[in-house]
Formats: sequence, C-alpha cells, structure tokens
Amino acid sequence: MVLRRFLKHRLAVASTVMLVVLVLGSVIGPWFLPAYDAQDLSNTNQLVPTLAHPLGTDELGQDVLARLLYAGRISLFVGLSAAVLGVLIGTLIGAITGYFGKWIDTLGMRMTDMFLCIPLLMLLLVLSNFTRGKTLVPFIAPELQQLALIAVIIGASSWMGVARLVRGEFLSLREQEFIEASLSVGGKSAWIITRHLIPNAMAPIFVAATLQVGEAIILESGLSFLGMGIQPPVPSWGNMLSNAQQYMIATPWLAVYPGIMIFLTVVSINFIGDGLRDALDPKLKS
Amino acid sequence: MGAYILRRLLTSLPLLLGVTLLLFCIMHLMPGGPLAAYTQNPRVRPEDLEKIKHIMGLDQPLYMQYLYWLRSLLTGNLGNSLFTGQAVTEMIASFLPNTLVLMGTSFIVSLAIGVFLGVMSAVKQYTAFDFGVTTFAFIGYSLPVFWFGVMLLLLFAAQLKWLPSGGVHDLGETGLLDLIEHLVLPVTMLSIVSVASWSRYMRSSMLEVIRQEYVRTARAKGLDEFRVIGRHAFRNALVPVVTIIALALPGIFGGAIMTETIFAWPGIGRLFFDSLGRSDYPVIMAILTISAALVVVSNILADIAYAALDPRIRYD
Repeated sequence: MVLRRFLKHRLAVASTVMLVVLVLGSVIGPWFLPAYDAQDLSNTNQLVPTLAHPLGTDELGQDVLARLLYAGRISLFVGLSAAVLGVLIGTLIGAITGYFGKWIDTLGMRMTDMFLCIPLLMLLLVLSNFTRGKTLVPFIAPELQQLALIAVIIGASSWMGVARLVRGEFLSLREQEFIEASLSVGGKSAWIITRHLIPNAMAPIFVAATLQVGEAIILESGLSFLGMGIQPPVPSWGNMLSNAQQYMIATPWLAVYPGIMIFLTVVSINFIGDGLRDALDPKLKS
Repeated sequence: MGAYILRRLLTSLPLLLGVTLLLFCIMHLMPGGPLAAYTQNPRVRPEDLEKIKHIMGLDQPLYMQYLYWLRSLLTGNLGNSLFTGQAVTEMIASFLPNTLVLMGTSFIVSLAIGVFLGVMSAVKQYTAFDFGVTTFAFIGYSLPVFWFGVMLLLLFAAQLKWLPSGGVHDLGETGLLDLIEHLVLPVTMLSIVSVASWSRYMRSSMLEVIRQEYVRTARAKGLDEFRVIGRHAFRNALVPVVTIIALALPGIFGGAIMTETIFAWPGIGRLFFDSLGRSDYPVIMAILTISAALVVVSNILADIAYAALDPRIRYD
C-alpha cells in the first residue's frame, strides 16, 4: 500500500532512479576511471574536456569526472552519517522529553531552544574550526578522520527539528489507550518507548531523516567550500568548487560541475522525502 | 499587548543567558582555547604565556571567567580583539552598517518578489505561471546557495564583466549608483532562497484565504477583482506569512557569511569568518552573542506581528 502510493508520486520515483544512478556512479564509478597518479607530472595542465577526460582535468592534471564521483562517495557518506546521527540524537531527546514530561521536558526543550538560537552555519564553523585535525575515531586513516569529524559536527548541530517533532508525536501518542493498556499490565517506560511509541512515530521520523540527508549534504559542501570541512586532497563537491573558483577565468566549467552534482543529489533526496511523506502519512499531504 | 511584550522579553532573558553560557563552554572547552593566537606565535615565551593567561583571567575557574565576561557584557564592554587590539564594539560598529545594507536590501527585495510571486501564482493557480513559480521554488529549496553565488560571479563578473566582482565600492567611488552596482549580485544570491520559500508560503496561505466566505461575499458585492484580491484576500493571507518572514531574519544573517565571503563584502559575516581563522575569541564570542540575541528578538517580533495583524489572537 505504502509502496503503491509512493509509486504514484512520479517525481519521487524519477528522483529515486536518479539517486540510485548517482549512488552507483559514486560507489563503483571511480574503479573504472583513470586514477590520479601524483608522481606523473606529464599532464599537469588544466585540460579542456577530451575523450580520455570527458570533463577535463584540474590544475594538477587530475581527472575531474573521477574526482567528482569520488567526492560523491564522500558527500553521500558524510551526509548520510550526519543525518543518522542527528536523527538518533533528536529522537532520543524528543522521546525522553515527550514521554516523561514535567521538568525533564522543560529542561530538554529549553536546551533545544538554546541550540536553535545559534545560527546553524556559525555553530558549524566554530565547531569545525576548533576541532580541525583532531583524532576522533582511533584506528582509521588520517584523511578519513575528517569525514567522521564533519559528520559528527553536523549531526550534533542538527537534531533540534527531529527532537521537537518526536516530542510532539509522543505527547499525542502518550494519551492513547494502547499506552494506558501497556502501563496497566506493568509495561516499563523503556519498553513502552521502544516498542509502542517509537514504532508509531516512525513515519514522520523517517521522512525527517530523508530530508535531513539533503540538508547535511548542503551543509557539508558549504563548510568544505569555506575551507572548514573536508580538506583537499580528499575531494568533496564543496572543496572542488572553492578550488575551481581560483581558476574562474581559465577553466570556468570546473566551477559548474560540483554545484550540479550537489543540486541533483539534494533535489532528488527532497523529492523522495516528499513522496515518502505522501506515501507514509496521507493525512499530512499538503 | 504591552504587558505581553514585556513578559516575553523577560522570559527570553534566561534563554539568552543560557545561550551565552552554552557558547562560552563550547568556545573554552574546544582544543586550542583562547590562547591559540599566542601559542602559535614562536616569539611568545612560556613565561609570557603565563602572564597573558593571568591578565586575561584564564587562570581562574571557568565559571568565574564566565561571570567576568557577563559583567563586562552588561556594561557594554565586549573586550578587545586579540588580533588588532581594537575594542570589539568598535570593530562591530564599523562592519555592521555594510551587513545591514546588504541584509536590508535583500530583505526588501525578497519580500517584494516573494510575496508578489506567491499571490500571483495563487490567483492563477494551475496555469503555466503557477507551474513556473512552483518549479522555481523547488529549485530554490535544493540549490546550494554558495554555488549559485559563484555562478553569478562567474557569469556576470568574470565572463560578461557587467558587474563588479566584489566589495562595497570601487576605489575612490562613494556614489549610490556604484553601491547599487555592487549590491546586485550579493543581494540576488542572498535573496534566492527566501524568495523561493516565501513565495511558497504566500501561495498556500493565499489559496486558503481565497476559498473563504468573506472573499465570496466581497465578489458578490460586485467589487472588482483587483480590490477583492488586494484588499480582502491579500491582507488576510499575509498574517501567517509574516511569522515565517520574521523567523527567517536570523537565516539571512547567517547566509551573510557565505555571501560576504564570496563577494568580499566587508560585513559582520566576513568579520566572523576571518576572526575564526585568527582564533580571535572575543570577536567570535561577541558576534555569536549578538546573533543569538537577534534570533530571540525575531521570535518575539514574529509573535507580536502575528497578534498585531490578526485581531482574533489575544495574548493577554
């Protein structure tokens, strides 16, 4: 039923196809493309697009298509993990405040208000500026550390919307009879939250999570564009754009690609989110 | 109403206090700390560092430092920049007008275009115009704004050379025309998202109002369509949109960071970004505090505007 409703949303279906293409392209694409060899200085020129390099090469002679796809891996990974983390934190805080109410609710919601008072981009910039180059997860390669770090920073700064959403759902669900029934047979709080409340609030959480992925990708590329996110040589759509900005007269096309990739990814995620909202919860349809 | 405004202002004080405490903790618990500007300087000896620490009060416990900071905040003193030595209030006062010009223009432009597009696409629902506005709004939602800014720069400044690529004025120029030329690109970049989202809200609010009975009554009275839409429907449809617009103010302020960086616009956003690079704590902390206050104030403004426009809403 849900699937059939989703399939009716034509834009969402088209977006799903596009996203699948983008994901597959980023995940397997780089294997089929010429790798960049830092030792090979024979092609250290910015080349116009040719057959061998369909999108041209950058100022270091790196194949731009390969880097775009590789950057796609990075952006999708960071966006997805940041969104998952943000939604987890948000659900946890929303669940606790919505279920227990009273002073816990007041405390949690005032904390949410406080975070909402700080403009998001400023908070992200402060956090990423002061944590740059720090080791977050031991045992992984240094150039991958920054990915985890950025994902955590974005996740830790974008849980407020989900927290309010989950709290609202919980407040209305809490009053319903099946919760009372569960309480009357001795259901514990943790049981009621995980077995009754969260499954019933799953649809809006899932929709919010989907939209959050798009948001996180924009935030990550914005940070990287400002030089406060993913650092080169690891490519990200954001840092590729800021790099291309320096060669705007000679190779203007290089600045066009990363934005199109971000736009296509985010637009398809947003349409999928829209389709999911209509499919999962027909009441919400606007 | 007056009592309500006063109550809202008073209850938002603890919130702001909490935010400053939160910011203070984030800033001080971060590795690097306020001394980063000095520790990176090889000419600063360890004993100097101790002295600086003492002068800045950093050898005191964190809560005492916060209280000191709060006390000077209340007396209107935001400290001195670690980089230029200038008073932070002075620095902000010299950068703020540029940001206000940029934000103000962008606000007026987005308001005019967004509301106009929204009303028109509601009135002409399901026409090509409506479809076009809807498509534009969806594009605007998913557009990476910084890329849009770079594209504007690339096309109109670098390639076509129609407009200047950055700054507030050309060298030696102070005229209004010159300022407007410099404003076109940054304002376009800063407005695109608000136009997209406000036109959307305006459209749905307008569609709701058009179906109301008083609009039908107005038509039945024989009023011409322009008056029905302009006087009766539009004014009522504006009420919920005003809230959205007031709440969007801080977003425009945050967006100024991107815009000011791309177009070399010497405003608060640029100052914030540059101060981050220099670990200039007092400046960062001051701008963050002001931004948070701005958010709180616009929340209150949104509620007041809502009550002022809709006589059915009473707060007291």
